[in-house]
Amino acid sequence: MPLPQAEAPLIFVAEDDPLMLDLITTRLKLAGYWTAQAREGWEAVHRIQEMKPKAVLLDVNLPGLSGFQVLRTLRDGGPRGIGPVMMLTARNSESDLRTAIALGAKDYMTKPFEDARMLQRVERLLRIGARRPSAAPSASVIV
Amino acid sequence: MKSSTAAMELIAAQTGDVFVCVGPDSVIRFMSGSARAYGHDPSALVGMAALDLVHPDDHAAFIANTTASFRGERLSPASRTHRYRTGDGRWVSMEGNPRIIRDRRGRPVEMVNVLRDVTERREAEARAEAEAAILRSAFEHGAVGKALITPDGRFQRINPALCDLLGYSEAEMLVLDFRDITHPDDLDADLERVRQLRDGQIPSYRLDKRYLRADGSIVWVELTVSLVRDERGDPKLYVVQVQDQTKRHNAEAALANSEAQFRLLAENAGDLVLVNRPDGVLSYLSPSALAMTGYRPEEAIGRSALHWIHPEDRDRVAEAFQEQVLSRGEAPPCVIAFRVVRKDGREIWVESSPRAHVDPASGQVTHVTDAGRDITQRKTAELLLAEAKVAAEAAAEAKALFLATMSHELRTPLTAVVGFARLTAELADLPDAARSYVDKLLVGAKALMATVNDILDFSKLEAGQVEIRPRAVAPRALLAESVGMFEGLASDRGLTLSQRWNGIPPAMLMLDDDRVRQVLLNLVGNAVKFTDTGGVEVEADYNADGRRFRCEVRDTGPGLNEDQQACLFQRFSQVDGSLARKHGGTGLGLAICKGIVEAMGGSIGVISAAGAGSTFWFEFPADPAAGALAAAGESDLVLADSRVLLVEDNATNRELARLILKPLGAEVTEAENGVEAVRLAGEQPFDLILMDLHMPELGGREAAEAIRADGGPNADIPILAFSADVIVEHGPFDGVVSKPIEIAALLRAVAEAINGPAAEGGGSDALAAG
Repeated sequence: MPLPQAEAPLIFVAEDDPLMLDLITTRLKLAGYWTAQAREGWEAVHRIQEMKPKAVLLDVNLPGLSGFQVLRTLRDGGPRGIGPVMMLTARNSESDLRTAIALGAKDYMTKPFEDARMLQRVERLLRIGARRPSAAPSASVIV
Repeated sequence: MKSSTAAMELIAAQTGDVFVCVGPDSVIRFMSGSARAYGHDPSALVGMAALDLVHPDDHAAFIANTTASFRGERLSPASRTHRYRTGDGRWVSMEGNPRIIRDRRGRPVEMVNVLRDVTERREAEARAEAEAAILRSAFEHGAVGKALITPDGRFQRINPALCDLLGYSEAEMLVLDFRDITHPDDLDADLERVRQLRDGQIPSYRLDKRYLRADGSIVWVELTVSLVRDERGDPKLYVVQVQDQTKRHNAEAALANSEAQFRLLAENAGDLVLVNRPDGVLSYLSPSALAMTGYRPEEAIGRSALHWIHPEDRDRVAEAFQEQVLSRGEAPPCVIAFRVVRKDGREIWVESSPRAHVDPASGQVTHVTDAGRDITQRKTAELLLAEAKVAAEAAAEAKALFLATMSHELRTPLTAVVGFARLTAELADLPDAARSYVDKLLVGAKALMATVNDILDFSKLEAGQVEIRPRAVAPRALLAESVGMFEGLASDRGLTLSQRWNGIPPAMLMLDDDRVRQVLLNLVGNAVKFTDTGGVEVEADYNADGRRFRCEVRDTGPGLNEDQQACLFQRFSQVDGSLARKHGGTGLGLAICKGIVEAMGGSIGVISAAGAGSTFWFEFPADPAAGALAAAGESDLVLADSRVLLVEDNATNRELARLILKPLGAEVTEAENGVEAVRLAGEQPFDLILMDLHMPELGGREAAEAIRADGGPNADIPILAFSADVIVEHGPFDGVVSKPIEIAALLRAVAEAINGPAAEGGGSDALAAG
């Protein structure tokens, strides 16, 4: 697999299922992105804060901290420079969607999904981030 | 003579009587001085004819009387009374007491009459006579029978009412004895009362008794008897009043009869028969109470019927009872079911229907009747049934949940299997053997995925969650592709497979191609799988007038009998279990097809006969895509999975924009004003917002600024302005689509905004994982 371009954006994927995680990161790499990953909530928080990815794909059902708790932690104490977050979930639930949006997620996708759709959504996240390079995934920063 | 006149004067002065001496010629010879009290000069009257003082009406009687007296006859006081004229012209009644004076030879020579004024007495007598007439009239007339009965039992007098009542004439009655016409059963009681009356033990008596009428029938009467005694105190006459009681007695008899019937029913009923007072206290309880409740009637009577009703049901029962009483029985009796706690503590279910009864005279509720039936068995069955239903529903729900969960759980690893198999297959430097293995791996994984998707589809269909999204689709290509997928299988099985159009279809139709493809694959796949010789023919048709798409899949397979056809479209049914093992599949395929076609507003069916092949058909409404939309549908532009928020207060413009965007696969959400747009944008992510500038409430610019400022999921996505203005200051907008809307311009702007220059990396690699 060819390495991404040096200036290619970093996409962070937090997903506990190793197969799904591998499949998603492989697809992203093939599409030319750098990827980083975590399979547990706390690990995800630390690595996202440290690596400041341009976009985050965050599974709702993470061990340790749930996806929503990760999102809340990033919103409340996260440094600037972290790209927009898209939640991944196995259920198509209205209340999950509302919770995610309220916590500052910029998108939401139900698994399993088609690769094309995932890549399309990632592009959207990057466009959003590009408009506001310093935007944190935090609603409290933008008033 | 002189001495005798002096004596007469003396007596007359003392008594006030008038002494008069009259000769046989009836000429007055002497008049006592007491005549002065009547306005006469006594001496002036001497020599007058006595008749001149008598009232003309009494002349005849007076003459007869005088003549008789001279003959020596004795007369009654009444016949000796005449009216005499006073000095001032009034008339007074005087009773005479004549004495005849005779000579030595016994010849009458003079009559001495002593006249006494009886005017007052006569008047009193007249009044008495009038009263007697009234009494007589009262006796004779009126509805009440009256009789005077002698102490020896004979009717002395009888009035017409009694004659009518008894059916005898008065003459017949007068020869009858009251004992002859009294009902034998009542005679002793009557005679005993008579004895008590005669002995002075009672002043009168009242008795209900029966008389035997002349025609032999019986008449019920109320008898009132009193006794009149003579001066010595001996019984003289029984005064009898007789009142006809037939009507009252009939009513009472009917009542007694119906009560007897009621008791007969109540005492023998298996149901509980109750009579309550309006206050709820039991006044009657049938013997069946013992068997049903364990209480003897005498244990419960006099207590409230509520005491044995389950405490939780008491209010309900009391309410129904009260409603009956308050409505005075006019409320329709309602059937209530409640629990009764038996004496032994066991609970039974009883159904009853209290009914209030009203006394028509007073309008008051007299009692409430009720019949209680033991429905414990029925109630138990109902409860079991309800529990079974709840259990069945819970089981169905659990099954649906299980299916949904399972299919999700299966799909996740399957997604990985298919995904990696694809990635592997895409590798350029793959050895031939490895490529062959991977291809087979993909075939198996895809078959497994199809099965899982079937199950998930089916649970969605059952829950009504399937969404049909029509877009502009080329029907010829759709049909050709779908049928073409089975060419390999058909030729492997030595079957012919063809597809054709009946007529020329429109280039583009508005339909959900994914769903139509799913149905086609199912029907064609089945036909190929189940046909061993011959072939499969697919024929499609578009009815431009009815705007309906129809497709038939004909095979030369074994065909289906009627029973098989009946269960064909039911879930989990395969016509033959052995076929299922041979050909695989979930047995859900046709049920899913039916669900999909019906969700599109169409229908599906089969025409077949055993041994004669089968024709499966389906049809549904589909509009042709408008020319420009058709062109758009054929364009390269793909908005698949793009989420567009369309904000426009003008319905026509909204419709137009939607018609342009939807066929390209965009998911369009609509808002009619700025406020709604801001709310929606805060709730769900979009890829693009199309915003009209001029709207009531909140204008497009203000709405866009609010969306940009709220930090929500769409704060940084492209927003395009719809505007008729030539120059629009961009502000919060990323671009402008000019009005009136041109399709090409709109598509260009949308494509640029969504797939615009900001896109980095590659990624139009459309590999379906599902």
